[in-house]
Amino acid sequence: MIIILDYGISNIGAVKNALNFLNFKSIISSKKNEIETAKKIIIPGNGNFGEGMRLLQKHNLIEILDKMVIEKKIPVLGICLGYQMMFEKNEEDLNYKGLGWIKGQVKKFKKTNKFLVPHVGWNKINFKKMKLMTGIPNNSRFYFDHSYYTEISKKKFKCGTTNHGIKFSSVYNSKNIYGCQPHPEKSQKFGLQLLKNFCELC
Amino acid sequence: MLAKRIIAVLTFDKGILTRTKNFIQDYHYTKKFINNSLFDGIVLIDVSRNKKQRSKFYDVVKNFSKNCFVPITVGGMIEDIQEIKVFQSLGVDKILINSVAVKNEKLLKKIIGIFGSQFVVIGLDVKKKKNSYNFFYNNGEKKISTTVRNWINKVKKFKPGEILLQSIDQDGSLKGFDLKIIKKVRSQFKCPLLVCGGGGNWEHFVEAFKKGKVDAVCTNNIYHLTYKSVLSSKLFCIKRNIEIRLE
Repeated sequence: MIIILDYGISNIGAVKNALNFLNFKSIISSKKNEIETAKKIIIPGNGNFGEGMRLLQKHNLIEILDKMVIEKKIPVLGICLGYQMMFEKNEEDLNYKGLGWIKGQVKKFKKTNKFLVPHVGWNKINFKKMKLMTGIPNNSRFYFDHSYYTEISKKKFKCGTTNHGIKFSSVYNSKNIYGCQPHPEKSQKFGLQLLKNFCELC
Repeated sequence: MLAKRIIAVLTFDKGILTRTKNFIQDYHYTKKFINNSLFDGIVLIDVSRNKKQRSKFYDVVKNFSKNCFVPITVGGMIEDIQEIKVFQSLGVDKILINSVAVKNEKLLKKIIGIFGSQFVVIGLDVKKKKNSYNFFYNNGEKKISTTVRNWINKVKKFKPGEILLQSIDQDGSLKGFDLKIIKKVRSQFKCPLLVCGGGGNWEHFVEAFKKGKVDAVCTNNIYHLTYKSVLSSKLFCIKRNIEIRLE
């Protein structure tokens, strides 16, 4: 079963609708006993980083997530804030630590007249061969909606990049950990393909 | 580079899709008209006068989002956090706020604190009187008592994710966007600007992108909502060197 993690502030319905459309069985859950049975986990995201981490703590989700992802090596896909929470720290709120699964940090975009913040809309992802991007043409457009970007410090990973004044890692993979800055559930056919790839190939 | 967006804005009265002119309801239409795959976003607004039949709007949102894989924004009478969570569970991605910014600043700050700036689109509904402008709330019924400049300064402080500027005068007129107020608002915000009201033909869209420097053009014109129309508007923009998403 694919678990869509519900920690209180995400567009869980949209992710669920996309998986239903693709005919993958999934449940929305924040229950430990359900998460324990997961074959795959999706951490959706739409919200403030500090609030997201606070809610993961409040619902006692960090321990079970660590167990599933780090010990059991269950494939996990973080979307937008869900991806950003996988990092060690985040400029949006330094009072909270991230999950720390990806070495690196999350920083705020600098506003300019050319590159507005938040980075909202359909932008391109440039990538070399990645399982998550199977069947998707290079430089396809995905829907982004965020004010902070990820900066990875470790070198051993695969990633696709997007440019918004600065080049950042918009899709990521290292072992069983997958991250996606744009919203695949809202990126029409290429986004649906990415979700299908995660459910089928990863 | 980010592509410029073309967005459909749909207004519902007690769950029924309606068209508006100067913010007053005009005709009733059927939602079957709409093909959402090529639009870069969909905005669904509940324009009912009260929340008595809100569940009908929930049904609309639910049915829409089942098969809609572009971002969905909802607006109209959004005034509590619990309801925002209901919308998220129905498949909504972000919210449009207007009256709350006037009536309950504290709540708006709380919403942004929880869901982040990127989650909130602030609506600016504008009306022209002689040569000056005023912003309105409550479905265009009530005037915001402060000046345009003061209100813009206030809205800036909320740090919205995007601004949706709607011209009440141009709404349903098909006469083109009000570029004067668009330019004024554009110069004040460094977040994306969406405009709505007056887009009658594709040249109007190009004008808003090129002269108004907007990020998204919204249309609520029923004739623009078919796949063929959206495609034709997008091809027109591409010919005029505007970066647009085609798939």
